[in-house]
Amino acid sequence: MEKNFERFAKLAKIYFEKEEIADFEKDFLKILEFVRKLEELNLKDVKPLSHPLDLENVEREDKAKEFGDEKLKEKLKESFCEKKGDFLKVKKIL
Amino acid sequence: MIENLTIENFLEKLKNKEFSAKEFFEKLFEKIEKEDKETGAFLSLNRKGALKEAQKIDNLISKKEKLPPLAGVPCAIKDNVLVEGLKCTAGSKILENYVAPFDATVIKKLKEAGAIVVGKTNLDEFAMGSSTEYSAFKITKNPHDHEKVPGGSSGGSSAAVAKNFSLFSLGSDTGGSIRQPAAFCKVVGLKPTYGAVSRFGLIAFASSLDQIGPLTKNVRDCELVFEIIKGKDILDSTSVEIEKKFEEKKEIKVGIPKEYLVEGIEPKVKEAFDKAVKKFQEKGIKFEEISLPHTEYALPCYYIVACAEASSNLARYDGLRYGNFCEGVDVFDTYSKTRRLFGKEVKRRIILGTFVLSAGYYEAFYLKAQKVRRKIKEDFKKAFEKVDLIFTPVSPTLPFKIGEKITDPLKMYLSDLFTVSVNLAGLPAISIPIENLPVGLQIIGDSFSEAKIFRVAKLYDRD
Repeated sequence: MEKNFERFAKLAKIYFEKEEIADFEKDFLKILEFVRKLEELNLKDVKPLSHPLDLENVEREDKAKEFGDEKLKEKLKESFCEKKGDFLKVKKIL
Repeated sequence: MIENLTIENFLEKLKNKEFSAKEFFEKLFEKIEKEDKETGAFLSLNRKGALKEAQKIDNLISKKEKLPPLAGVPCAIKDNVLVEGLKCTAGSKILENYVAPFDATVIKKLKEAGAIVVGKTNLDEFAMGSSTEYSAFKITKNPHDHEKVPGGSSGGSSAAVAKNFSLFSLGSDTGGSIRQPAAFCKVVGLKPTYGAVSRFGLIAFASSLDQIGPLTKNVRDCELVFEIIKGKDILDSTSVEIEKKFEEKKEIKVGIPKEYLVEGIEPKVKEAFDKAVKKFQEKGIKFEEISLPHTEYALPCYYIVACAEASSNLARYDGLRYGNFCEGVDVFDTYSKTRRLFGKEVKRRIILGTFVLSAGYYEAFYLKAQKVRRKIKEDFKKAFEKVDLIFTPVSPTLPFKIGEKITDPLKMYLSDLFTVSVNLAGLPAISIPIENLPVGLQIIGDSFSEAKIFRVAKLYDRD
């Protein structure tokens, strides 16, 4: 399981210290056992329900537009962890 | 001064000039600064901003201008709802220094109605918890018994109302996070129908379950606040306008699901529930036993759905656009070290969510849970063909001791046994305090039937 837990930690992009893993894994297995209760049910012809309301997708034209609110724009930029001028600075991906 | 006030009383006294808004707020902050050291309801206060707004209300009064419906009413806001210019931490280290750049729609509406934000209240980190102990910053104590938890995750909001630090609060409810703390602190709390209140500006936990709602001293105040915050919002495409009108009926029939009053319920809770039912019977409400057969599957179903959505929603905390950030050697290292700042419970839920959505497990867990969700919704649909409302207790237990359940996540999850089905089905439900105990009566209605819930709940209002 240890390998598996590490796989999910990696997928979730959360760093765990080696010595933390056993503890998390123990709780994880307990919770997993608990949610396995659903296996008792026969759900063969049941349609999955992802949302409580019958909503239709709201769509808009895929068109770039000017972000009008200059004050808000400045505030959003203030939250950037790293920036260069008007740009959000991120680490190299490739 | 604020002790026995409801919103209605406050407005009357303010208009009659028994006090000025500014005077009121000065005294209120004095009280909070003295008493909240012990309770720990607030994460931050808005003293300067509130006094400025109070002065504006006083100016309106002296000019004899028309007052907005919540003129000068002090409110406390759960710290996962954005209030422009104030910190919004969601109880997490990852957002420790985050300042909200705009108002949530509910805040915009409250401000337009004249309400004044006193401060931001404590919560379990990202609203994940049932005791407010999972906050990264502080413990909130139950105002009626300092050794006990106030409930959660909106524990700061419920404690603030119970301690008279505000006349109402806003909380958010994903699986019981308004109703259970309302019950534990002996106040009223409403989880509206999914879509009734805009979620724009609420820090997302599980988007198909989250709803913002009021916590108040009585049902009338609850209705008053709900009427102001509800409605369709162009910024939340899942919000809808309530069109359903409440038809006055001669006889209201209430169902009591037999699955809720079985094992695991504390005798004191059961006793209080039975006594409350009797009081409603005396007021002419008819009761009958009903069945919600998938009740025992609601909690496992909820944890799969909520964690799956949380793992996706919380992917945004990558240390780039906002929040705290830990420098790593490359982009992956930066993400994973930044996300290490999440607390233990949040990490547990993200990992579970990642697991149930991952290739190879998606069908066995997530898809299955979505099917169970339909069964749960259908159970309620069938029930509401027979009855107008459903009564259950809010929580199977009385408030528990601080520290009692914190090391056992499953034990903590069981606190939500009676509340999660309502979120899965998207229904409205209120918690009202009964028998002067920290026990809540849950009144569940069909979608968009808040008016009917209020009408019946008011039969039990304290004053």
